[in-house]
Formats: sequence, structure tokens, C-alpha cells
Amino acid sequence: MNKLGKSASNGTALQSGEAAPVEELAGTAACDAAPDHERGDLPVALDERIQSQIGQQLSSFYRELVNQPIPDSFMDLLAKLDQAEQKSSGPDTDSGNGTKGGA
Amino acid sequence: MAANDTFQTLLVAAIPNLRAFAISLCGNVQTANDLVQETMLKAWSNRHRFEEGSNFKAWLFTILRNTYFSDFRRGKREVRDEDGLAAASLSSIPEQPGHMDMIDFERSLAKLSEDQKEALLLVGAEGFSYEEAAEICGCAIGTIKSRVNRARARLGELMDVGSSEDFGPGRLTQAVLSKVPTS
Repeated sequence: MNKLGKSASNGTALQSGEAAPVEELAGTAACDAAPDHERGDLPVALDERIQSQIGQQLSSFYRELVNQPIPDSFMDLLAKLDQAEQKSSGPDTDSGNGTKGGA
Repeated sequence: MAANDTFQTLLVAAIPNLRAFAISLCGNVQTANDLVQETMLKAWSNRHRFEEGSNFKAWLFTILRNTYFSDFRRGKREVRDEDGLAAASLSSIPEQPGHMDMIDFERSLAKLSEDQKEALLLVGAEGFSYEEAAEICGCAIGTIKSRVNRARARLGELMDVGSSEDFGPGRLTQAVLSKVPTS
């Protein structure tokens, strides 16, 4: 059993009688740069390098989606909204595309 | 007329991000397109309610996510299609380093709870502040923070341990192991 105990979020669950090193009290495990010999105690998932990797992959993934071309149907929809607006000030005719929002 | 033009210009500009968020949320490109179009209709119908100078993007995202959770979430309309998402949304990207990583990532993302996924996307991908994300989701800031943290932790677990059987130990595991001295 590691004498530093499991890394608890509030640092109060220490099992040994000695004063905890500063790192143990410094806050959430995810944020601290633990010395290498303690790295095995951190949940692997919260390892800084993995989290940094996740951040990059999330950005790349999302950027690819944002950069995709917009399907024509979207521009068609906007054109219809514009036309309906200009045609009358009352309820527009049913375009077949579903109801005008507002529910 | 001018106000409508401005509104429409803003709306058009937001479409790529609305689509990206919707695709990530729905796990299905067709469903996501429907969701975004319905969002646009609602936004247009309620354009007189939008206050000039307030956060237009946050307003749109609020409409979208509310529409998703009330009408589109699993069990109502949407059919999750994991392979379809990978195939349809990423098929236009040529094979290159990182391509498989993106597919893996997408599959892992799909395994998060919807609350966690939504929070992570708003904060980590769209760049909303915790406060903005909390308003969009109608919850406390602390709730958003814990959802984001749990999402990140869960992704860390998923992506590290055997996420792709074809390639043996997860690439992240390999990357970590290659830097940590053994024993």
C-alpha cells in the first residue's frame, strides 16, 4: 500500500501519520504535475499527456466538421424563408418542409 | 428588411458550427441536418425575440440543444448510426496520418452520456465559457464543469484501453509508455 495513500480530492484520507507532501494537498489530480514516481497512482485517464491528446483530437475532429460544405438544402430553406416573408405578413403557405417553428 | 438581412447573414454564418455540433450530438448526419434546419426555422420565427447585442451564437445553440432534447434524442426520432457517422462525415477526408485516430475519437465520443458530450462540445469544441454553456443548457456552472471533467476522464479511459482492436494497445498508451521509464 502506497504510504501516500490514494489521491483523494480533498486530501484528508491520508493513511500515514506523516505530513503530506505539498503535491498531495495541491488539489485535483487532473491538474497537478505529479513527480514521475507517483504517476502510477494517478488514474491513467487524467494523465496530462492523454488529456492534451484528447484536446487536440477534439479540435481536429470538430474542425473537420465545421469545414464541411453546407448542403444546398440549407440555402434553399433560407431562400424559402425569405420569400415567405416577402409574400405576405400573415402565415405563410405550407412549403411541405414541415411547420414553421414557434412551438 | 435590413434587420432581416442582418439576421439572415448572422444565421448563415452560424450554420457550419451548428451543423458540427448537431452532427457530434446526434451521431447521424441526416438527423443532424434535420435538427439544424428545424433550429433555423425556429430562430427565424423568433427573430423578433432576439435582443440586439446579446449573444447570438449562444441563443442559436440554446434553440438547437433544446430542440434536440425535446424532439430528437435517442428513442424519439434519431437513429444512431455509428458507422454511418464515420463513413458519411469523414469519408471526404483523404486517408492521412491521424485519420484512424479521428474515427476512434468519434466512436469514443459517441459513448459518452449526452449531458457529458454536450458539455464537452460546448466548452471544449465550440469555445463557450462555462457560464455561457451553463446558460445554454439551463443548469449551474458547477454542473457544466463536472460534466466536462467526467467527459474528459471517460474519454481518457476509452481512448487508452484497447479502443481499436486492429492496432493492439491504444496509441495513447503506447505514447505514454514510450516516455515513462519502466520500473
